[in-house]
Amino acid sequence: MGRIERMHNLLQKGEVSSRELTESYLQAIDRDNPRFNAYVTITPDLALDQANKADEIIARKEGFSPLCGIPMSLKDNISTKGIETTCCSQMLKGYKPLYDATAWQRLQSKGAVLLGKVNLDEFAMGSSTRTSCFKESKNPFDTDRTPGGSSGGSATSVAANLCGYSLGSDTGGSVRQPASLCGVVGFKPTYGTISRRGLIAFASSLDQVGIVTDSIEDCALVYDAIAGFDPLDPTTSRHYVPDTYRGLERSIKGRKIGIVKEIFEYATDEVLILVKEAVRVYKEMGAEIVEISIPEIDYSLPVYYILACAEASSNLARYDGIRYGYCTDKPYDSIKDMVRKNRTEAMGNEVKRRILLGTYVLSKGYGEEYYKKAQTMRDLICRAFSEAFSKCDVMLSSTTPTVAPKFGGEMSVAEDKYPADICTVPVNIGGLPAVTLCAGQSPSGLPVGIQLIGNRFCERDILNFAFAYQQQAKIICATDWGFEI
Amino acid sequence: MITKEELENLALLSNIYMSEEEVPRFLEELQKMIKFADQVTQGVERFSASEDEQASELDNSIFVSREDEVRESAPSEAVLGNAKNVESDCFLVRKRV
Repeated sequence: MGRIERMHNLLQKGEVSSRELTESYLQAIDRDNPRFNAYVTITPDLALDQANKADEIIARKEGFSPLCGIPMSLKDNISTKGIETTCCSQMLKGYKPLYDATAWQRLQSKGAVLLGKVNLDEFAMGSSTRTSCFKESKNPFDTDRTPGGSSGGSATSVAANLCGYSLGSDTGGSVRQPASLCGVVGFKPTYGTISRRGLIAFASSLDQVGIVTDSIEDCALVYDAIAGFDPLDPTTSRHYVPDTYRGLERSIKGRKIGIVKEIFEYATDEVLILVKEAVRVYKEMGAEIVEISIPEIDYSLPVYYILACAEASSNLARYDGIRYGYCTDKPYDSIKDMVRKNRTEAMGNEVKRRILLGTYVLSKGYGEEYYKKAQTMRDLICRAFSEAFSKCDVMLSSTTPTVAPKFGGEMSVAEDKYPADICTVPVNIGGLPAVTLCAGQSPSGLPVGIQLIGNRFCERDILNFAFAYQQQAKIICATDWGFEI
Repeated sequence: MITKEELENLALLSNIYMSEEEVPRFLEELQKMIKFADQVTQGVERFSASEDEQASELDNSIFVSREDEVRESAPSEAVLGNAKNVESDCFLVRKRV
C-alpha cells in the first residue's frame, strides 16, 4: 500500500487529521530540508489552511477523495496563483503567477494540501538540479550524489518522506531520471493527457506534467485526479482517460514485454544485473519476453537537442524583465540594451547555451539543415515505435544507464560526455507514456530503476505491468528520513 | 563550424551579452553540440526518408491551435504587480535619451 493510501486510511478512520499530518510534515521539512534542499519555497500558512478545509470535508464525509487532506509538493515551474514560481532562475525570482496551473487546480478541487514548491534545474534544463539558482538538491541515499533532474526536488521530497507525493515535469526524462536515482516511482503520461496550462514552457511539443510517488497505486490515484481534456490547453487530448487505479489488478500472464536492444545496451553492469532480474520476475509471472530492435531511436538525442533548444529559444524570448522578473540596476542606453542586460545577468550558462543553439538551428540557412530534418527524424522514430508496439504490449529498459553519479560526474553533450538521458528521451520524442519504479539497490546501496514504456494512451497497461512487478518483487528502498507514517 | 562572428550574431538575436572571456568557451561548447546535432542528417539518410516524408508529416494531435477568441484579461493591478518599475497603470522603462 502506498503512502497516499496509508494516509487516506488513517484520515478515514479518524486516527489522524489532515492538520496533524500537515504539521508533522512541516516539522520534518524544517528538520531535514537543510540537508536535502528539496524545497525552495515552503507554504506553511496555506498548507494549514488547506488542511483545515480538508478536515471539514472529511468530517462531512462528502467529496472525500483519496487525495483529500494529503500533503504534497509542486515543482517550482508549475504556476501557483499568488505563490512565487521561479523555475529556479534569477530571471523569475519574485514572480507570482496570476493563475493556477490546471493540474494544480484539479488537485485543489480534490482537497490537496500544498507544503511548498520544490527545486529544479533552471527552467528545467539539466539533469542534476545543479543549474538551480537555489543550489542543488541532495540525493537522500547519499548526499554527495545528485538526485537527478530536472525534477530533482520532487524526487528528493518524496524519497526523503518530506511530502506524500509531488508533481514534476518531464521534457526528456526529467521526472523518470530523478525518480529512478532516488528509488521512487516517476510517471510521464502520454503527451496531451495532462494539461500543460500553467506549466512554464521549456519545449512545448515535449513538455509534460509528471507524477512522483512512492508506489504505483499512489501514482494511479494522482494520475486519475489530474488527467483529461482541458479547454485552456489545446494540446490536451479528448481521448477517454480510463480509471487506471481500478485497472491495477489485471493479470499480465501471456502478455508481451519487448526488450529494446538499442536502449538496453547502454546500462552499466550494476544496473543491468537488476534489470535482468526484473525480466526474470516478469517471466515468472507468465509474461512473454520478446527482443525488438528500433534502430531509429539511436537518433533520439540529436533530435531532442535540436527540437528542445529551438523551442526553448522561442519560449524563453518572452523574458525581458519589464513586465515581471529580474530587472537590472545598471544603467542602460536603450530598451534593447536593458533587455539584454536583464537576460545576461539573470540567466545561467546552461540556459544561455541552449538558447544560442536553438537560435542557431532556427536561423536562416540552418532551419532546413537542422530543424526540418529533426522533425522528419522525429516522425520516423514515432512510426518505428508504433510498428514495434505491434510486437509487444510494453517495452522494458533501465531508466538510467548508471546509478546516481557524484556531483560533477553528470554527463552532458557540451562536456563531451554521453548524456544520461539516452533511455528516457526517446519516450518524449514519441509522445509515449512511461513509468519508472525501483528494481533494487546496487552493491553500493544506490537505487536502480526499471522503465516500462507503453503505446500512446496505454497508461493503464504500463501502470498495471509496473504494479504487478511491485507486488511480486516487493522491493522497498529503505528510507528513514523525514516524516514516516 | 561556427565562427566567432556567427556566435556574436546569435547572441544579439538571443538578447544576450557575451564577454570576451566567455566567447571561446561558448564557441567550443556550441561546436560540440552542433557536431552532435549533425547526426540527424545521417539518421534521415539512413532511414531513406522519401522527399514527401522529408516534408515532415507532423503529428496533428501535438501541433494544434485553438480558436482565437477575445477573452477578458486579468485586472491591470494584478498584471502590474510583478513588475519592478510601474507608473500610472503602465510598465515603466526609465528614459535614456
